[in-house]
Amino acid sequence: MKIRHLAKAFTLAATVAAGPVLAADDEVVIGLSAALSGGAAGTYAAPAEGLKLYIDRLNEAGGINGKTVSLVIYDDQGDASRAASNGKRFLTQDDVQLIISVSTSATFAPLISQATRQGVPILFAGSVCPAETMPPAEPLLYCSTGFSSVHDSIAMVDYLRELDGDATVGFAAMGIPISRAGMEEAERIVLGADMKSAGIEIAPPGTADYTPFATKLIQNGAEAVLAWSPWSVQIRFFDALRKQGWEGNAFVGHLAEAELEMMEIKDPGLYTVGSNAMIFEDSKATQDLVAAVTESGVDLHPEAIVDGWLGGIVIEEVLGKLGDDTSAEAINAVMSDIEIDTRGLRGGSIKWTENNHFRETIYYRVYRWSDETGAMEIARDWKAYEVE
Amino acid sequence: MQIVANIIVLTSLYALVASGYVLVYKVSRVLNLAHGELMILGAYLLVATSAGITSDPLIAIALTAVFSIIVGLSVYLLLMREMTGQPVLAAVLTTVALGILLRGAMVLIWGPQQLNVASMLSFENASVVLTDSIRVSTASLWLVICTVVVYLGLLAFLHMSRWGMRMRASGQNPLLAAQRGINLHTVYALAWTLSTFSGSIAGVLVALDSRLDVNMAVIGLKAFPAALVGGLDSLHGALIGAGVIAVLEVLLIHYVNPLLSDVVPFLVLIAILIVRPWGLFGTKEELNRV
Amino acid sequence: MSNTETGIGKIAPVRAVAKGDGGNRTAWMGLIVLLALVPLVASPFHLDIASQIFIAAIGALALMVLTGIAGQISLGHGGLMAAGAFTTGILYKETGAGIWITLPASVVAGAVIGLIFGLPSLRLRGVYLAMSTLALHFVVIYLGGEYEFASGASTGIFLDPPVIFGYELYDGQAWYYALFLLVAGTYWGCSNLLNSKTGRAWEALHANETAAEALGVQVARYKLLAFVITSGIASFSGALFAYYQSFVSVEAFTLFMSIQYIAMIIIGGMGSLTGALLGAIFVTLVPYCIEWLMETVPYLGLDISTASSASHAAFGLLMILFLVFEPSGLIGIWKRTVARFSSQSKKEGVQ
Repeated sequence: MKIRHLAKAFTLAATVAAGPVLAADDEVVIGLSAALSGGAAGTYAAPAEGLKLYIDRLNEAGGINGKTVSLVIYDDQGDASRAASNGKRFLTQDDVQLIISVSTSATFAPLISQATRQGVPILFAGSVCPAETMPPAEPLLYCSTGFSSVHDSIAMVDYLRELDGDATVGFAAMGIPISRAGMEEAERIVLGADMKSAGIEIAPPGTADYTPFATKLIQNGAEAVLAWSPWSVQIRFFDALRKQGWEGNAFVGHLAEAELEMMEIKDPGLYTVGSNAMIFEDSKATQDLVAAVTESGVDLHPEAIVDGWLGGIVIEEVLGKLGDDTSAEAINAVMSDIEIDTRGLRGGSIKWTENNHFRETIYYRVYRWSDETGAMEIARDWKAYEVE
Repeated sequence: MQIVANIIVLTSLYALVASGYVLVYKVSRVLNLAHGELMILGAYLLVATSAGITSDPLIAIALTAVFSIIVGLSVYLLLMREMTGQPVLAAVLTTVALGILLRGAMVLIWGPQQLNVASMLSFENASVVLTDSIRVSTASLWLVICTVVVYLGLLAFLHMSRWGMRMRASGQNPLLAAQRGINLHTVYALAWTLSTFSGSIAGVLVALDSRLDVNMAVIGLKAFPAALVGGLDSLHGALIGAGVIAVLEVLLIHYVNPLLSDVVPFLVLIAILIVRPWGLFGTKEELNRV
Repeated sequence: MSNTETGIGKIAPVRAVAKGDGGNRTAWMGLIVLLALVPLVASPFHLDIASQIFIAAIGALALMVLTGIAGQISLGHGGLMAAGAFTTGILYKETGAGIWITLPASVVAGAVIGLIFGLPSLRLRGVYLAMSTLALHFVVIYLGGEYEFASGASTGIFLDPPVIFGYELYDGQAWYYALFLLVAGTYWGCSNLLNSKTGRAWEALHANETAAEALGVQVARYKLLAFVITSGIASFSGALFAYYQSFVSVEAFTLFMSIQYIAMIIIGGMGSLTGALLGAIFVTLVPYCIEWLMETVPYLGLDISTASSASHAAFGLLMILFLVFEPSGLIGIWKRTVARFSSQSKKEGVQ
């Protein structure tokens, strides 16, 4: 009796999961693991949808080079264990030829450890670029976003020096390793440039009130504050500083939420330093993006999907160069030697070589709200930084 | 000096949240682990009212207060009432489950993104200059004021009003109270309603002060050591416990290592519980009945 | 008294089912054979789910012994698993130690932590104890985070597949069998323990501490023993998690994990080891079932981005339903079903 029951329960459980996705000959199977829900979804769900929209449009237009893309999407909730099981599913069941991650840095480790073992390349298209993609780059790992804790810090400090060369700088980080590492790096650069540091404040993930952290930065004499962490944390730090009457400038990372939020906050002292273009510019590139979103009828803010859109462009270009062999190996070979035109959504191209899976040159722009024009403005146009 | 102001604001927040734990625990011996979620739900109710019913912030807040009372009442009537007579732990675990349910439901309804509630209500959270060196935000000031009012109101209610006496009596000895003709269900419902109401006030003010997302329910967990240090059945104990935890947290952030501010309150909690398992102001005989 | 004291173990005799009579033994053997055949037909994805269930089952067994049998509540289970995972991860990263060193080390680390955090249990009971174990979670996560940061492992610590007798444990089927054996071993160990003097002492102190003491049970000793043994097992399952997922990071061990383990023992049925297994299966499968529902029943209007919040909500709802309507858990339902069937067959036999 028992056995039969359990067996029944088990087959029931087994049918729960979706069957394997079978690839046609002219189809490239790509796995997308994204934080579509959970605490980080506010940042990553939109870019992931943007990427999907781009790929859908590619397929509707008949694919690239005669190849269509079958995009397998699993939600990882920004959670490491879920990402691990997504990775297993991609590799053992869906037989993907490429994995794309649009999720938190917490999900990188499980994906990297599994995909590299199977020789399947990973494209990080939503979040910070892991150190493994910088020179000397690990094989198989590529990053198309402009977020790099080290380079963002360099660009932030550089711009800060242009504005005010002898400001005392405070740093606001979140208690996750990658944010702390970024701010430590920024402090080193600041000290190396003979500027003064007001110290790094690290807020634990469950912080209820950022005021005490802000107070400490203010009392240490911070005239400018750099922040590099998830948007929700950066902005709460900034709020807490302003609430205490602090009048300095804050420089924060340019995340997916940035443009929409800055238009709401309307504070000219809040600068974002990053490598994506903003939608308000109304350039050819952004017009195309907005038109595509409008046309699709999907409920998405164009401002929030730029990184996902760029991820789509990368896929298009990589597949365009791909020959008849659509194996993971062949895709990796194309990716390790390619230059991708970012079509005006970035300052320059994305160029990957054997040794560099990030960029040889990265361009940063600084944006802020302008009280004079009552609109967003470019505080400083693209500036190139070499990646060593 | 700003530090002192920070401590007072944080104390108020923890105390206001902790009062919710105490109210329910005092009368029914149930630890409501969904309190953080109920608190955040209050803030989301404000979002819903201001978006759907009225754009006037004051009316919206008043309506939110009414809704939060309805929520508190329904939590008791629909769920916790079912758990009366069940083991205490089963009731506590039910609140854990309720918390998970609420969390999922809130994301389903309002989405995962952070909401700027202050700007939705066009509430300007201006910085108020108290002295040269002390500034607090308008919402923080309201938080302190509300905490004082809520505590004074609750203490007066518990010690002076008829229903307050009944609540205390039911907490001290439910059997005897029931024999004296006190309707325990009404008393419990009252406790849940008041607790959700005060939690919602905290949620609304926190959301107005910073922003709102579901992860902020963790504040409920952080207010937890405050309630336990003070003694779970003592309202003034919760206030003092909140002070202890807030002082500790702010000083750790300021002088030691900010990352420890997450850990140390719980270590202090253990230390105090080992010395005085019933908390600083809790009732001693408590323990034998838990 | 037992109910009001710790609030658990309402249905104490459930465990009698698990202890088993002759008929059950053949059933168990059959089940084992059946499970051993699963990898021959299951897809890799299903094997992955099965392996996740096995790892969860080991953790759930530990918590069941601690909470369901010995009556000590813990909200620090996720923290203990993190402790085991980090012990393994750090040892591997720093010294390159093999699985024969890392696994025992994780067990020892867990046992020591269990001893330390078991100490408050000598003074505290019920919800107060549960809260003090929360501290365990925060401390372990804090230390793990500090290590990750200090060692520059900002995305986590990577682990290579363990090598056992020269064979690299990587393949899904190999993991399935290895974990299957470990679950069976843990189950066997736990049920032997429960039938020993120790197990009886735990049950006694769960039922009534004062009475147990009067009867000569050394309460302090057995309480601590419960913490030490179960923490060792929990830590062990954390180490297995690290090896199976090939990485360790603080972000993988959330408070929600501890709550999930509590859900497993509630849904499974307090006081029953078999219940722990059923609970582990159930809780691990819930999110996949919800996802599957969304794929097959599209008119629900739920899309993939609402899947996790929907599964959160459903998970909370299920826990509530079990607590309110079926406090004896899956094992209680099981028992009733079996009883009904056997009484029916008896009737048929009479006719």
